[in-house]
Amino acid sequence: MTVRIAHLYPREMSLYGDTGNIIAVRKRLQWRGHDSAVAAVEAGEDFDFSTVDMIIGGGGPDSGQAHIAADLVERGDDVKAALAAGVPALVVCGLFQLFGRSFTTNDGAVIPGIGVFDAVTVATRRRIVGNVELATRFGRLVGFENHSGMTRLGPDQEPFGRVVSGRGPGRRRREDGAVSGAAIGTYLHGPVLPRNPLLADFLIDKALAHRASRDGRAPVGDPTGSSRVPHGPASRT
Amino acid sequence: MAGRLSRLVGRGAGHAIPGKVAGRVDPTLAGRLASQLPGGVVLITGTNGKTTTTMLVAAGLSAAGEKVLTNPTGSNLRQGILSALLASCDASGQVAGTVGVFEVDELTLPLVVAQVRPRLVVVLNLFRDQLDRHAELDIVARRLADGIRSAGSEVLLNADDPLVADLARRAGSERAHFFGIDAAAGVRSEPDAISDADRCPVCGRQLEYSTVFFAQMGHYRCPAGDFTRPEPSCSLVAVEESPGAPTGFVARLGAVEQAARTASPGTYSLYNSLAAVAACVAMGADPAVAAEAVSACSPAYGRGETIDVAGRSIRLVLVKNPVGFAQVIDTFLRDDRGTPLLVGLNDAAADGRDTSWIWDIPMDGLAGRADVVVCGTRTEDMVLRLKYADVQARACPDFADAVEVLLGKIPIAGTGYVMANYTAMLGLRRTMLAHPAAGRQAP
Repeated sequence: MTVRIAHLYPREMSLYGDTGNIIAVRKRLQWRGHDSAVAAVEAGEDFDFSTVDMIIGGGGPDSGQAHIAADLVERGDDVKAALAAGVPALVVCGLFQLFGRSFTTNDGAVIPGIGVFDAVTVATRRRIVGNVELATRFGRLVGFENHSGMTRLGPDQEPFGRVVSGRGPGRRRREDGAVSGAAIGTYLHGPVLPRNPLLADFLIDKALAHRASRDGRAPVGDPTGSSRVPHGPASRT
Repeated sequence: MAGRLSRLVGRGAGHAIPGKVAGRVDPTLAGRLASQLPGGVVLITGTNGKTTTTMLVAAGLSAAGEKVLTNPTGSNLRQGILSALLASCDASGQVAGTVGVFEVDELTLPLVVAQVRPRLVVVLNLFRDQLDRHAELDIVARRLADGIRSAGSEVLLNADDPLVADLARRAGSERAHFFGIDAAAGVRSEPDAISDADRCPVCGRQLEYSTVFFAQMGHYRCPAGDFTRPEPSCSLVAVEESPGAPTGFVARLGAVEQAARTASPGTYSLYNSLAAVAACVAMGADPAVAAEAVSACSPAYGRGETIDVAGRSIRLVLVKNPVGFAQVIDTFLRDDRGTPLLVGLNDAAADGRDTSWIWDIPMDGLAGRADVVVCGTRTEDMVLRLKYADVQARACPDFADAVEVLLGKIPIAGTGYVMANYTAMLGLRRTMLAHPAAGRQAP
């Protein structure tokens, strides 16, 4: 089975190791005996989201984010249709912000997002940089965050995880990211998937199930049996 | 003041502490000391190659008769430069030199320029490096442009790196010269290179490349004609490469063609040596004298130098960002599956706390290896990265243990490689030099 991965704006939004998420997914698929194909979504170029089984995107410099934001908004309905059809997504840092409702830059300009997550981000002068550990429904996850945007979730938006270590004491925002269905947004670089294989396998299982249902076959499980993740809601604290 | 301070702190301090103390006492000190240098100051910056190029320029200008002050230990922040100036002071506060040749951290350039009015600023390249400290490449480029603008000096820029070449426009510099490699020089081109910058800085369109040497280095033009590779005044027009050995090359400076040799193999070394010859000539040195001195240099500390340990020859190469790592794999290991390899990865502040960059390294050149030893505070991250690249690696976090394991894999009189980031390289080098029967040799 060939799993098709949409890589969102690799040219602009692939800062410092984000490619590792693609490497992890492809290699783990290969270890399970599956092929994969990666198609880049580039600003201004046609892309058919109805053909993909997984969506992955990373972070980028402010200039990159500004360059692709309008393009992403045009594709918002396509992306949301794919997610509604069960396609899993991982968006890190800059693209997590743009998968929220809006991103407000340091100059006060409001860049609209596509609203997959009920989240708004405001740029600040203060950069959060460092190793971080999260408690999530996928277990304890580790990563490295490096961003100056502060994200606030809507009341019904489930966060991705709770910060259990890193980010320093006394900070009020102790949550990271957002989860809606099989769409995951986070600030964890590192990159997050190679460092946290259970999360990678969650996305892979969802993608395989999506591919199988498209092909009219029963979903194929993980023959190694190594990646059972509870899919229930996370406990809010 | 300066004299008293220098007596206080002592001579030959090879680190930044004296400069830190003195700079706090008198922030104008560096400028006043530097202004005593009749031949002026050359500042060398860029992501990769600063230490090597600084050493080469210092050698070239020394051969041309200058008494050169430099910061050879790679201590490239403000304090390191002030320390180097202080260390040369005599009892009366007189700087004992005619020319300063200093490597400068990219983000520090504007501050250093404000203090020591340079005669020449050299920018080698711009790659993604230590994003946790440097933030984004855009920000680094902006800082460099600010530094060049306020310097108002001559600048020598890499024509083949669009981000660097564009600094002339961004800084409004009318005194920019360029160095670069001719398409017909015979340097291997690499069409699938990783690139850190491939958009036109004027209009944002994708640049078109007719030749790519590595990363974004090559011959490019904006399809709309908004930006083109500038014509270098110092061009590398021919190379003579032999695997694993320094490269012979010919530099054309106006009507003069000058033969020279790099200190170390690899295309990145060609750029360093070419920039050094161009910088020496810009500072008034005779091309033949400068080229001869540049060619006679051994690799700088940990930059491809070879150390003799227990009868084995160990080549030490600093790798601190994806482009540098890829270049080292390509230069030393592309056609070599057999030579034992030790990789060191630390995440101390000086290395950058974020080790994510190892996932941006194209590791194809290592695939299939089964003998890689990994050490450092981030051993597990590197072992994992290598696993995903089909490389079997052995985790050996402790430096001394890792060196023993490496030596055990190398036959007597054989060769091994050590690739490590900054503090890991320092630690491994120290470990190896402390090993019985260790000695340093020319490559």
